[in-house]
Formats: sequence, structure tokens, C-alpha cells
Amino acid sequence: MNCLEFRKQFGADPACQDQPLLAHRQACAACARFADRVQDFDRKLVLALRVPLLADQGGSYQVPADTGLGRGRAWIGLAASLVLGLGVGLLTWWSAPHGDIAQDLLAHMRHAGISLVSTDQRVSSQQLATVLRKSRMTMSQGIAGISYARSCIFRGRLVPHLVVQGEKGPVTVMILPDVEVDGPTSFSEQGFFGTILPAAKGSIAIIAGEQSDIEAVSEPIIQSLRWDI
Amino acid sequence: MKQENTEESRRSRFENIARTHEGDLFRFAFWLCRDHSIAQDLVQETLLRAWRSFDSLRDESAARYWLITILRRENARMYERKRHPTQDIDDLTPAEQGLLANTPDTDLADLRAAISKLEPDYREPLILQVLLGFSTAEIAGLMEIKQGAVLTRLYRARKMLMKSFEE
Repeated sequence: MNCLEFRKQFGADPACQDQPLLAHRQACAACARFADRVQDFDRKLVLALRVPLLADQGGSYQVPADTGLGRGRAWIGLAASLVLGLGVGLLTWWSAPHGDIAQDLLAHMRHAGISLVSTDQRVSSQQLATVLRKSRMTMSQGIAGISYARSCIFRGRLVPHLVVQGEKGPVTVMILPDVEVDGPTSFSEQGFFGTILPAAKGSIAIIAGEQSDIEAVSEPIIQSLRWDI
Repeated sequence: MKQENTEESRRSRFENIARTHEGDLFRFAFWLCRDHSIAQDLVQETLLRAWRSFDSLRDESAARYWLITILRRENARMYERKRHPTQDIDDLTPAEQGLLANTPDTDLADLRAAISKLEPDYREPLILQVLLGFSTAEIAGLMEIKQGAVLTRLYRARKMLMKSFEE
């Protein structure tokens, strides 16, 4: 292997462990310096390519969980809710008519983590509009206190997942075009209260740690949500 | 009951895979299109499509390759559908500039700008190799080109970047 061949091969694949390549590096001081320079450059490349995943850059996936603060808070919330769930759940659990959907909603909330976090952060109206537009919806008036808005995959369908900061804690709102209910359906599971309300298309699920927060959030959501834009 | 458990397990496995790879998917998508909101859409569409065809993934240890394959196809589809104009680095929105330059290290910001200016044919294999750790054979498979072509593009990409970065 000559120097030109070495540089072409090493420049294309610095991690290559081919014997002739390693041997040339050992034997040629100039190519060894070239190899060091390429490897040093590659370390910088890795850092450069790892663009940060910020909380407001999330999609259906849970980017906020990748930020240290978000993850910490989410896990504290998750741990607290598990304890709460064990205690309160034993006392208040009752089987809901839509138990399966309730369990799916709670599982999604826990997976998202962010649904359990109290925060002063608010999403911009533009971000909210973008999420709703993806599901062909809009809101005619602003809803105060929305701290999280993402399109999430729920039961194989892209749905808006919002978190509204209620008086007593975060309130999860999931808009479910594919889930039909005959009338308002309440459930109480794993330390959470929830209600699934019929909507123009499908339904709206609202889940919170306190019943009063559900009532406070549900009315403005129902009033302002517009479908099929 | 058994069917519910199976469905629950399937969903749980998929969510684990999605959670494990979402960061890589977003970064790959971002460097493909250099637009963070399009990258978000791309990842969403990719995960949605992946969920629908989850049963076709026989070996979950190959999930990342599978997801990247879906994302590349989805990117091509999106490009065909929407014809996103090529974005000049100087026309990036403040959010995208922030994403590229979100570091007090000016060298890193300069390098990100230089990567962003690379032609897609050179940028993509470099991301697949350096960021995602794929072998040149895997990159050839993903990009459906010969391994020799991958090696040439990688060599040239590094050469161009090193030249512009070290100038």
C-alpha cells in the first residue's frame, strides 16, 4: 500500500482495521500524522453532528425526555405518581366501561412522562396550531396554560396530545378522532381521574390528578376545538 | 385476554424501540433536510409507518437500520410530494441557526455550518458513518449504491470539510 492509497482508504473509513492499513500507518510517519489529524477531526465531527435535542424541537417522539431537566422532573413525577397510584388506586379503583382505552391513555401518559410534570413553560400558539393542523383541527380561541403540545402515535394514529397546567397539577388532553363514545365516560385508575367526552368527530380524553382540574379544562377545550379544517 | 397481552406487548416493544432511536432519527432527519420542523414531521411519519409495518421487523436488533431505511424512503416521498426548496445556510430561520450554532464553541458552530453546506450525496454517508456508526457496507445497502462509491464520497466529504474548516 502506498501513501495515496492509505490516505484515500483512511480518509474514507478511519475506523477501518485492515492489516495493510495499520501496517502502513506504523511504517510511514507522514501518514501516521495524517491519520491522527483525521481521527481528531472525526471526534469534532461527532460533536458537531450531535445537534441538541431541545424541548421545543419534539415531534410525536418524546424529545423532552432527552433533556436532563425534563427527564429528572418526569421521573420524579412518575415515581410520585406510582406511589400515589398504589395508595389511592387501591382505594378508588373501579372498573370503567371503557377500561381498555383508559389503560392505554394512562400507559401513553406514563410513557410520555411530560404529562406528569408541573411547569411554568408554555407552548407558543404557533406550535399548538401546527400540532392541531396535522390532525386537521384548529382552536378558535386560545387556551391558557398549555405547557406541552405534540402529535403522538396513539393506537396507531397520529393524535394531538396536550398538557394544560391546571390549578392543582398537569392535565392531559388527548384528542381522539377514532374513538367514539356514546356519552361522557369517567374513569378513575392508577391515581388519576379521567373523562372521555364525545366530540364532533371521535372524542376528547382529559386526565388529571384532581377531578376539579378536569372540569376546569374540559369546557374551554370543547368550546374552542374545530374539526376538519 | 391473551390477545390483549400480545397487543400490549407489541406496543410496548415498539415504544421501546422508538424511544431508543428517536434521537438518532431526529438528528439524521435534521441533517438530511436541515429544517427542524420538517425533521420532526419526517420522524413522525417514519414512526407512524414503522408502527404500521412493525410485524415486518423480524430481528429487533436491526431496528435502527430498519427505521433509517423507512426514514430515507419517507424523506424521498416528502420531497417528491412537497418539493421542499433547497435551503441556503444563510436563509435559515433563527431556530435552525440556533440548532446549528447552539454552542459557545465557535469551531463547532463553524463545522456545523460547513457540514450543512455539503452536497447531500456527501453529507448523508458521512452522517450515517460518523453519527450513526454504520459500516460502509451498510451505508451502501441503505443508499443503494456500491461500496466503492460510498468510500469515495466519504473520502471527498472529509477532505472538503477539513479543507473548509482548517482554512
